[in-house]
Amino acid sequence: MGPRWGYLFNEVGIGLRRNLLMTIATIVTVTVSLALLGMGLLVQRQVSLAQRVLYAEVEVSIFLLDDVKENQLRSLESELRANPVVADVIYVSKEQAFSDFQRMSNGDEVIAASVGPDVLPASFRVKLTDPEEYPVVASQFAEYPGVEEIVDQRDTLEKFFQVMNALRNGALAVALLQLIAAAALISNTIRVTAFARREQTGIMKLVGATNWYIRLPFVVEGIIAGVFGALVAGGLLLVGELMLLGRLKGALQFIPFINFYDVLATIPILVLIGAFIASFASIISLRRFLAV
Amino acid sequence: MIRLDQVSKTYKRVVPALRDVSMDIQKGEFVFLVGPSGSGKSTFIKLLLKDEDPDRGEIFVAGKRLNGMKSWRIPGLRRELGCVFQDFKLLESKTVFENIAFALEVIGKPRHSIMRTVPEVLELVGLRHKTDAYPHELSGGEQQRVSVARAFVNRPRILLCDEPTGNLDPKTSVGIMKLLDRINRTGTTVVMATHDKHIVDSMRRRVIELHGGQLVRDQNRGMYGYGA
Repeated sequence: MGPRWGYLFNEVGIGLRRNLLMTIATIVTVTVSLALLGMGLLVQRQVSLAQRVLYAEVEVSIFLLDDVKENQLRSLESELRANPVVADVIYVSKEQAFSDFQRMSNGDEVIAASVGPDVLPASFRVKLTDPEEYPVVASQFAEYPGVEEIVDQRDTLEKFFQVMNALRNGALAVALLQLIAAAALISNTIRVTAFARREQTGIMKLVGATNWYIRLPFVVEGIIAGVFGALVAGGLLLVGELMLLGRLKGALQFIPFINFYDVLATIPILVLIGAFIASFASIISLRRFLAV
Repeated sequence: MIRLDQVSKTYKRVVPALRDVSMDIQKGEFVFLVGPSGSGKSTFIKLLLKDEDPDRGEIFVAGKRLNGMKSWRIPGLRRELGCVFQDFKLLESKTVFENIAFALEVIGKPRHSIMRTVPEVLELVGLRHKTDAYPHELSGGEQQRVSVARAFVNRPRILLCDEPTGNLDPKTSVGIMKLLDRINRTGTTVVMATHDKHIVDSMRRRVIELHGGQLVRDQNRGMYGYGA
């Protein structure tokens, strides 16, 4: 003998309407906490995506002194090519560095004019077989005649990733606090509902309804609030992706970004977490109330 | 059907509610449980429902041993017991039909069986014409009939009544007693805690008297008090 669905939906509907304000407060809290959680997950995804793509293209720049000799240049290049950790070497002359810079300034004349043709040094752009091998290259060529400085582009990226990771940690921490608040609110709402229905619950116990049968309407009520909050949070994240990331993507074309479908894929996770937290909170708050 | 073996129950380790009570109630018996307030009648009923556990002694109800019964088996026990209370315990927001149907719904009875059995039991208690009335539209006697109907609709083997006529006038009480008597004749064991001397004296059934938690009298075809 399974549950009677008509009875269940009826009870759940009554419960949700009876404390409408409390239900709304609960859903809003669930929404905020899960939206933050989703954001944390998406930042995490963004970081790993960017890391994978950007690290694959990362290069070591060996900047050269302006008075480097032609023969120093040759021997440096041939030694680089002979090195087993080096995948590719490109020579960038001073003129080329200047024109690259002009191109990257994207038509912004102030930036373009801020650097003269003599300022930027010539360099070797060295691609490594494995970005982790940077120290090998650095130690081998740092003291080489004609070399001014060796720069690992990863350092610049690391800063970017550090900011992203801090953002993720912050979002996850706030999400965690909000989730606790959401669980407390759900538990309180359920308790109020249970109190309002104590007469009915008493009769159910008396006529021999099982504990699960008594609990189910309350738990379903909590789960509906949890799932509804998760769906709203998912909707907010989708809107955020379209409005905010859409704009960023236009501005920063060299970084790969998560897309609409990545956001869509996090929604089931949020729904599961929302449902889990809600049922957990309901069962905890009912345990004492429904003790036989 | 009901057996207590040297059962004791003390609340908060001070007041003994039941002291060394033993009794045996057979299937189909009608038993009055009498005694002043605080003599242990309510505790007795709570013990049978396994709403409370005894400190000492063994209790058997409907062939089940209550001591050490797993909590998930308690609903099964309660489905063998019908309960009627002084205050009716009807849900005000539900009609007569819905109140009775509720007791079946929540133990998972299918709709078609509910649609069949609820009118039957309403016929039995004489309230077929009040099917769609709400409790507040009924007299006290009628409300208690609904309560009896709800307790009996699942055909329990035992009907426990805690002062079922406590809120009713004598004439209405007689009606309820006739109903309980009819239910008893179907083979249902009835245990009724009461203060109503008139009813006990006129029915002449088995009387079990408790006093200060002790069983002081167990008499077939008894009266309410000694020498009364």
